[in-house]
Amino acid sequence: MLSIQNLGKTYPNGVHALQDVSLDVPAGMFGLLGPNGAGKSSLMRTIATLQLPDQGSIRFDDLDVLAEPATLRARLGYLPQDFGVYPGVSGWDLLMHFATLKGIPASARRSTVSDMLNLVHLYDKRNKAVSTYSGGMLRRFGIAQALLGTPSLIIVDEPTAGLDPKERHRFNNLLAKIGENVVVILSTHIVEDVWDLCPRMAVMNSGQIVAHGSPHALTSQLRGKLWRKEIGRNDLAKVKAQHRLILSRYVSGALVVDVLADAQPNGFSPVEPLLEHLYFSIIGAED
Amino acid sequence: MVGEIARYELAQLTRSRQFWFIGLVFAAMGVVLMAYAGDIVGGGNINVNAPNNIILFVNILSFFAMFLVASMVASSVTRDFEIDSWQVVFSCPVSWRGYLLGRFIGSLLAACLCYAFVIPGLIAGAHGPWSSGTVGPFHAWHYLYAFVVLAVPNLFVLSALLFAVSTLTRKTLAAYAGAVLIFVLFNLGNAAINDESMEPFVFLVDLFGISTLNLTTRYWTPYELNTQLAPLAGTFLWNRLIWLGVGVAAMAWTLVRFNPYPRSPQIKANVPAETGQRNVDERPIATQVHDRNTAWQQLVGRVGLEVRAVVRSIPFVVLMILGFVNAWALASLVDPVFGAPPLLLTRVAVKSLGDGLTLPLLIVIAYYAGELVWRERQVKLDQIVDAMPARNTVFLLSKLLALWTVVAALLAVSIAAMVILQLIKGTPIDASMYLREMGYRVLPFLWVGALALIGQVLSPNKYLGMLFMVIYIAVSLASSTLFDMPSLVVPGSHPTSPISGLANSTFYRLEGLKYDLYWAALSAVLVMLSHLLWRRGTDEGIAKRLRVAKRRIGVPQAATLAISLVAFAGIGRWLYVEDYVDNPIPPSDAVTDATQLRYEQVMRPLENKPLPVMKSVRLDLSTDLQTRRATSRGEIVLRNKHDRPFDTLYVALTPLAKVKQLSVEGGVVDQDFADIHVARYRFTSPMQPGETRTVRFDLDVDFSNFPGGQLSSRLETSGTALSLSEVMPDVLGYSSYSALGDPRKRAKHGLPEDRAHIATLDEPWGRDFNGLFGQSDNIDFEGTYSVDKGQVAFMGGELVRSWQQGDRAFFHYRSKTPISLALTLQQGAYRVLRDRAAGIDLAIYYNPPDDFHVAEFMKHFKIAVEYFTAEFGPFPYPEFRLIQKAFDAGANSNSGQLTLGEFAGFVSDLSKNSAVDWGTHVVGHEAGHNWWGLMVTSAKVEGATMLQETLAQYAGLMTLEKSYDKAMVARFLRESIKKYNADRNKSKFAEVPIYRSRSDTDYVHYWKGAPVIYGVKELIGEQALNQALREYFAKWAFASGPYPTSLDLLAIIRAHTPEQYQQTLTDYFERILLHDLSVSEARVETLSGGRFKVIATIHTKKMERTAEGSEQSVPLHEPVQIAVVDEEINRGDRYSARWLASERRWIDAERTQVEFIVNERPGAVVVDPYHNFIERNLDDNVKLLH
Ligand SMILES: Nc1ncnc2c1ncn2[C@@H]1O[C@H](COP(=O)(O)OP(=O)(O)O)[C@@H](O)[C@H]1O
Ligand SMILES: [Mg+2]
Repeated sequence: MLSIQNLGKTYPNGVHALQDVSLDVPAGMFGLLGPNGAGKSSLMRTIATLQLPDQGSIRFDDLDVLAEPATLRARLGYLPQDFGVYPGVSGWDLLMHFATLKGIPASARRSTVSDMLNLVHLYDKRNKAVSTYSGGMLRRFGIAQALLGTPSLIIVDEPTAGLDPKERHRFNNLLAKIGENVVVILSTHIVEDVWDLCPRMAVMNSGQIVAHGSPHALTSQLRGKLWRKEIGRNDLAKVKAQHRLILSRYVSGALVVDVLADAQPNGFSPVEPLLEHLYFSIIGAED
Repeated sequence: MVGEIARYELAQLTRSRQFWFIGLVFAAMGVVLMAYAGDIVGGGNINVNAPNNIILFVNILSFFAMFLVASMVASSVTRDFEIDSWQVVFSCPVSWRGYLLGRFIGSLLAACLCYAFVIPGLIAGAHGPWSSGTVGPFHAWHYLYAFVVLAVPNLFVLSALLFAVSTLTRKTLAAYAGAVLIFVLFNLGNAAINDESMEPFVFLVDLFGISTLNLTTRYWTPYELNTQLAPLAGTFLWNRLIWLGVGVAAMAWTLVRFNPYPRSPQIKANVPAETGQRNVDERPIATQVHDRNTAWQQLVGRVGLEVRAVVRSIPFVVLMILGFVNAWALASLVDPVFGAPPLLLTRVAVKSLGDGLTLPLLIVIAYYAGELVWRERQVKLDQIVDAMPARNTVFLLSKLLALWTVVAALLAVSIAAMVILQLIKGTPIDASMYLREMGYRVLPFLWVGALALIGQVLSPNKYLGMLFMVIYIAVSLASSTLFDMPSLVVPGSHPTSPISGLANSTFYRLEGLKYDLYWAALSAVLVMLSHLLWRRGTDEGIAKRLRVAKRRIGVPQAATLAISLVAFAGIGRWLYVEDYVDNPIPPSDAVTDATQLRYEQVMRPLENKPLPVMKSVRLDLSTDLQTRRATSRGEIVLRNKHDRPFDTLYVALTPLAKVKQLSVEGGVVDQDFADIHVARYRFTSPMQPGETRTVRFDLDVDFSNFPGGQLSSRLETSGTALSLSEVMPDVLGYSSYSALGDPRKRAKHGLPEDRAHIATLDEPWGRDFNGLFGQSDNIDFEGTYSVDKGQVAFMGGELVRSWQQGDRAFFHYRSKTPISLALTLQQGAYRVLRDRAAGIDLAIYYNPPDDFHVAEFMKHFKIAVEYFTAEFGPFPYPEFRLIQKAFDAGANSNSGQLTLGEFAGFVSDLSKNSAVDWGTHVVGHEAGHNWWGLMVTSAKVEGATMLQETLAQYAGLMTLEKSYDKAMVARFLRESIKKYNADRNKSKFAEVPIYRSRSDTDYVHYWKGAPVIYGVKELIGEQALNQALREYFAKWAFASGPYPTSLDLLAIIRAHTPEQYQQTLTDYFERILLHDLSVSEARVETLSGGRFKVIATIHTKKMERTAEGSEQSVPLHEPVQIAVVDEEINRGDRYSARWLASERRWIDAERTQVEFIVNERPGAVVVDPYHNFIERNLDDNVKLLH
């Protein structure tokens, strides 16, 4: 189990990226949800030993992560949000290289890499330079390297960004399977993924954890407080002024709004809460 | 719209970090070039900021600008293709031609602006406190001219060419490849037109304009160079216009040919699924192992990856090609002594590689350290890699090893280039010498690699780390002039070990390796620090990294750090004590001023004062090559030849000598100047006139020590040459060579300009001192020299007896006739070639493999000795021997014994017909010194060097003439005059007429002396001149004061010179004149009877250098030889052509028409064919007739 206590991080430019973050992450998939700039990547990099917090502590099982980063790295699989590769190095060579760095013995290296490339559907592209891969292919390559070996802590920062729906689906299933016995932390802004995959989750905003628990439990808090109405295009401002707007969207040409209220407002009908509602209720409605 | 795009591009580029970084590097290069200008192009007679130098420097740097252009201009368009933004660009409402043009103009302007940083750099270099030479007044116009006329057009042409290449191929890399291609082609072009006959075409090939300019200014005098800018006219103007045209054409071509719609991407045929491809839905599980074995595999893997990345990159390929070209260039540049380069023996190749690779290797290290350390960050792979479970050391060491690999690769390519060249030339290849010597020479670069690494680890970005290395490079290149012990203070440097084909230099390398050990220890410290501070992750602040470092320090790390620190300090202390405290640098080798100032302070009061003179020397010397020690025992008998008594005697010793016994008869030590190894003895009873006193010595000389860590040659396995002062006390008083020489430095210390006080021709006191040893004349010498068996040993006088005892060989020498104090003790494992001439036994002792020209040498040695004994005077000794010496290219002369450095002619490449046989000249020159210098010793008066060197040049020239022909002499004189012109411009010492020349103005008495003395011979005839020399010899040989001056010789020569040539003699010896002779027009008319009439116009000018350094035209009345030569001149070199007619006639006007009637078809008219006049331009003396 990963346990994070009072983590704080201020960048040299003055941005408070993490403010007193405490979290317990048990084995299984853990979703980290939050808008851009919330501090998800900062938190993940800190756990992945890539940067030191100003205060706080991180423990993984018995391990003091901040004191013994090398030990954690031996158990870590990490996919950063954004990365590049050496120019001109083929997928096969690079993944073989990563396998070496991961400490996979020479005897198992070739078969592992071969299987891994098949797993992420890059086997037929293995002799091409990774630097020529498309965005989705590069993402899959990143996933492949993160999963190499037997990591007991997997941190993936927006892993499915840029993947087509089919690939995303496949990857989600894969993660879910892996997540049965190791800690997997996944950051995303796709609410649906968290709902589908993660027994536990946290929402971050402005460097803080603003909600934390199981998606279902968190969502059920909203049960009976969420109301929907179809309105005219010009009435949005009025609704905003009168109610706490959570979501607004067009459904076959009509504007549908969901609002939060303890009692049913006039003209609104009840609606079953989704994780989306929870998310926007926390971080504020989108405009 | 074009302007809009250009402005945008300009703004983008000037805002980038790259712009400022490259700009600052250019500025720094400007400062460094100008600061060292004093050593590169002069700084005495020619100001460092002379207009021509400014132009030269601005131009040298525009080579580097090629890569600036490649990175700025050429890539400005290709960037759009490489990041696929072209679709956006070309969908904008702008004509794509306008777009291209705009980007080109904008980026060209940026490149020019960036390059302009050179100018303030040069100005700061010239006028800053570090300036190393004379500095003229500041003229902004000179810099502006150089920038506008050279830099800007060069940048434009390069930009247009590279822009064309990269735009049409859509690849930035192509631009870099293009830059290399231009560089290679430029070099090949330059090599191709190196021939004189190609000079008219130089301006066509010369993209940079510098060779063309050089053709214009190469014959300028210091005065002209200091005051004038090369005008933008003639071929120079054409050169600029032609290349601007090429640039415009390249641009036009690009605009016409460019197709804005890129080729549709090639669709690759589907690769059939391979067996390895299958459906995998489960994550493959593999255990991870983190042990030593894994770390090792990781290191191997990473090194492979890093090396592959480096090797595959375009810059590396470029580098290797440059390395190859560079090596070939180096091979063709090795000391081409007078048109005859040495044979490309391995020792020559290694020497030139050792010298020529230093700077390239340092630059490569600076560049690649940055590339390697910042690679992951640059490609944004750092987060993945840093989160991998591999140790810091894996990354760190792999990068260091990759860096070392690049160094090794460049070295290997360079050696391969040399070996190929050797195979082509058929010279013997000594593989083990390459291995040993290059292996030793590469070590410092390994340590510098560690330094560059820590620089990059500490630096917040790549550029600052590179800048750090640029500063290091500047300091290390100047180290030998900055520090007394550079190897102890400049990280990575170790003493250069001398290379020889005679002496085994293992010993030097072993000594040098101590310094490598020292720097290796520092490297260990640096690598450990790099490990502790290694960037792992995204934290950049130094505070965070120190926190991490503290955590990374465990017991093993701390122990390693402590041990290497202690080792570093300990070895450093040991070296300091051994090479600096116990064996301090003698003043004559000192680099910093302190020791030399001290020497002058103590010893200079003795200068030109009466001293006891040496009468005889008894020396028993024994050397041991195993221990590299010598024992030296004997006595010096001094006599008071003056009419007043002496109270004191100053005795100086070599720093290597340990005194077992040293006594001065009737004297006790009165004051000990230990820091300069001088002791003053006071006589208890003064040494009276006519009295003799004996100095007895018994010394241990330890040649295994290296004062100041300088690996200078002393006791060798073969080719040893020791001077008397290295094994014996020196009682001759002040030696000016141990005092500070540079006049500028002397002025700074408030010292008189000259370190030697030499009498002027009007001061009678100077006649009582001889130019070599003050008041001591020839001595009686006797000695024994005991050496290891297999060695032959030489002292002064004749061999009385030699014998062997156990594993020692003994040689007993005694002088029947007194010999000069110029006495070299030599030993080695030689083969000997004997002959006889004029009743004298001749012998050449040489290194057996170096027998390339020995038989020729003997032939010419004989000719020389026969000629000199017949024409100058009798030779008093029964034997005359010539002995090869290890290491250098120098030579010297003792009574009956000559020393020739192994590179002085023994290994010359004389295969080319037009090659000058430098070796034969040296043999003649040094043999001649036995007459001119040793038997006739000149007074210590200005002009003394004319009596020694100019006459020795005559001896050398006559040896060449009698061994070959006058054509060989003419070839030599041509080189001599060229050298005079060049050295005069480089010298720190103002020019004087020959008869007032002194040792500092060697360009006068050697290189102007040669054509002048040969000119006198041509004018008054060999007979008359030799008659004069015989009289001079008869009068002055073996004088013991007063000694002769140049006026004495001139008076005798004048007595043998017809009245009409008296003025020419004055012009030759007593004035500083420069002639300009040329044939401006020449035509031929066919006459009846197979005869031809040749009509030619001779152009003549005569300039005199005035006292204040300017030049003025003076009236003409010159006896000039004019010849018509046959058509051979169109085939061989101009000196091999046969004369059909010739005439020496008086030239009194600037234009003179001459006519000849000849019986054969003429080939050319030549004015002054044997170079009897000093000219700047020797090439316009010939006019071909067709
Ligand atoms: N290396 C850094 N230096 C300075 N500020 C940073 C750095 N990395 C992230 N930030 C800032 O910290 C905040 C959190 O960013 P990040 O952790 O990337 O959020 P998220 O991943 O949730 O989008 C943002 O305001 C971002 O601009
Ligand atoms: Mg992020």
